[in-house]
Amino acid sequence: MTEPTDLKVLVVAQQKGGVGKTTISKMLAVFGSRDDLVNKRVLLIDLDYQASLSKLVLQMDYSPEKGTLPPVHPEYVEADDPDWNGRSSSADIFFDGNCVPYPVTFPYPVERLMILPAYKSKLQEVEEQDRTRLREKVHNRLLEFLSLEEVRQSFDLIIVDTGPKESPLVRTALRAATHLIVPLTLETQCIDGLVEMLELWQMERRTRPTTRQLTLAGLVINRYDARYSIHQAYLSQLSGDPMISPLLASTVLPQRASVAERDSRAAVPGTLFDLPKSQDIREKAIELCADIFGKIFPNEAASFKKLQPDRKYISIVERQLLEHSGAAEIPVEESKS
Amino acid sequence: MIMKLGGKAAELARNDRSTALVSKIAGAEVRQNDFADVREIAVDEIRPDPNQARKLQVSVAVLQNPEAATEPELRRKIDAILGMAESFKTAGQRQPIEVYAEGAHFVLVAGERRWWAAKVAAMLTIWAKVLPEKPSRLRLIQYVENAHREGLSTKESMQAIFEVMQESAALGEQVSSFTQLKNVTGLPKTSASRWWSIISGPEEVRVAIRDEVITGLVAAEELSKIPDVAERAKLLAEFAIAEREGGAKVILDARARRAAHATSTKAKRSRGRPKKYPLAPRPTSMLLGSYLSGCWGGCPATSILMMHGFSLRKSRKQ
Repeated sequence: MTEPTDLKVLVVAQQKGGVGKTTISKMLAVFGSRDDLVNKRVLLIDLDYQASLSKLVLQMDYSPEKGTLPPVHPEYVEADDPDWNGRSSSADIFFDGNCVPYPVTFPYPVERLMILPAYKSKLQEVEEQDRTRLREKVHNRLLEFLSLEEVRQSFDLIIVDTGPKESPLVRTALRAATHLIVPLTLETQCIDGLVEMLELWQMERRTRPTTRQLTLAGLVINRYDARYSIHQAYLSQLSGDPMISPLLASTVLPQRASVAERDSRAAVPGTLFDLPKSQDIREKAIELCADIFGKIFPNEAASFKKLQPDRKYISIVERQLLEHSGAAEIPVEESKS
Repeated sequence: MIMKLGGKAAELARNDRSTALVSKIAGAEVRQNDFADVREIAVDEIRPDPNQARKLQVSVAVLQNPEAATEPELRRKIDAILGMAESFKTAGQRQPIEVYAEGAHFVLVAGERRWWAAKVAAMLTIWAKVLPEKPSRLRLIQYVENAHREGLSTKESMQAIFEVMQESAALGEQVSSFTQLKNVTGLPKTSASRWWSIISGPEEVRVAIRDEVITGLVAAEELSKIPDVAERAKLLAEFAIAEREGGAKVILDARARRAAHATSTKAKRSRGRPKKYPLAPRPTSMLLGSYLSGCWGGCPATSILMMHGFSLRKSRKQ
């Protein structure tokens, strides 16, 4: 079995829910694929059966029996492909391995960004195997899939979003990862979750040969509120600890309403990078992404630091609004700055 | 720098041990797993290690014609390999062999018998742990592997132990005591003690082992312990005769043991539990016993207790 050498696999994982795994995955994917930014070929893989990431970037279907499921692929022609029902998901990696990534629709299509969405009932089926089958069919499966020549030729970076709790899907993601990001909020339960997450990271590292390392690209502190003394106390504890501080991402993401708003498809503008410069979260998000991409592609780290998004990516909703109001140009506040 | 913070929340955070735990895990040293790289390699690309202490003395020709081998030891080895080859055909290879890469081919660290079996079973590839380079303690790995799988003869063991000691000395760890030998080789205490008697004992016993005049470890140890040169020489000569004529060695082993015991000092022979020991059935009597035995110049506590009207059994019952 050949292992992916050039292909980078970034896994975003944390057992505690609601710490921003999905938000950060989407942010990194957009930052990594936009041609005015890092401009790499990025594939998102949603391994969380809640499908929150898939719902953010695709118009997902829903059925009462199967839960959330991917839509019919836009390029699907039934006559050409009678054996396929037109839907493809990350769960297919664990079944027949025939996966057809979807171009991302929301907030705006990015040419080099694709996604393998989640398929709730199928992903649940993957997890509900007995131990032996899990070991044989699940744990190494993503690694094998990402080692396929075709996959390695098509993408530069894979970003895997995982669900909360320690599930076999998290294990399979870690097995395939070259880099790991652990988002956290400064609350007790979350730091507890971090303990177990790091145990998992160390455990995975111990099984790796020297030639294939797993790098912790950063513990990303999210939703930091300087007004809370418990946040301050935890932050000073973590950054004051000689063992933990080197693992922390250089940028702390503050608690801002505009982050939560970006999780709505109707948000204008579509991503944090498209916010006006007056909002500090924009700069923080760019800094954080540049820092993390610098760790994944160390040779290009210096150039990433200079990246500034231009305002040519306009979300679908925003475009409709603009067309409705008759304005031909992009929003006023951005052109002012 | 840790900020000084006031308030209840800060106090809570300070008392939370999770961050300490996070720190511990984050700082934990990860032993990189050099052995994790298990893959299939071509059987033809593997070479046996020419300096391996255990000599299998088999070849493709010998394995193809097992009937020709007359020596019982060789025949046993051949049968074991052929049996393993059969098991490879039916059950597949259960344990990967261990090799390191050298130039265009791989050199065996462990698993020579499995490699021969793979050849017999006409396997093209074999599962192997591929080490990135020659391990620094190669001889030790091989010795441990052989000692725990297919038994080494006493002669092969001696050679292997000497090589492990040399390897260790080259790495700056001289072996100059029984404890060091035990630690370096990982031998059980009894075997390590036996080998240390041989290693630190008279030269002629080691020569006899090398020439396979002595084939038993216990006999070799006992011979090494005989301080009288003439007595030792006499027994060694008898061993040599037994070797030539075959048999009667068991009796000689026992004789060597008796001779060693007869000539060793009495103090050395005393074994088992020391005769004098403080009695501690109950705290009070223990105190009394130890106190009194102190006063009476180390008299056994039992006798003191009996002098005071206690019997051993009675005090235990209470």
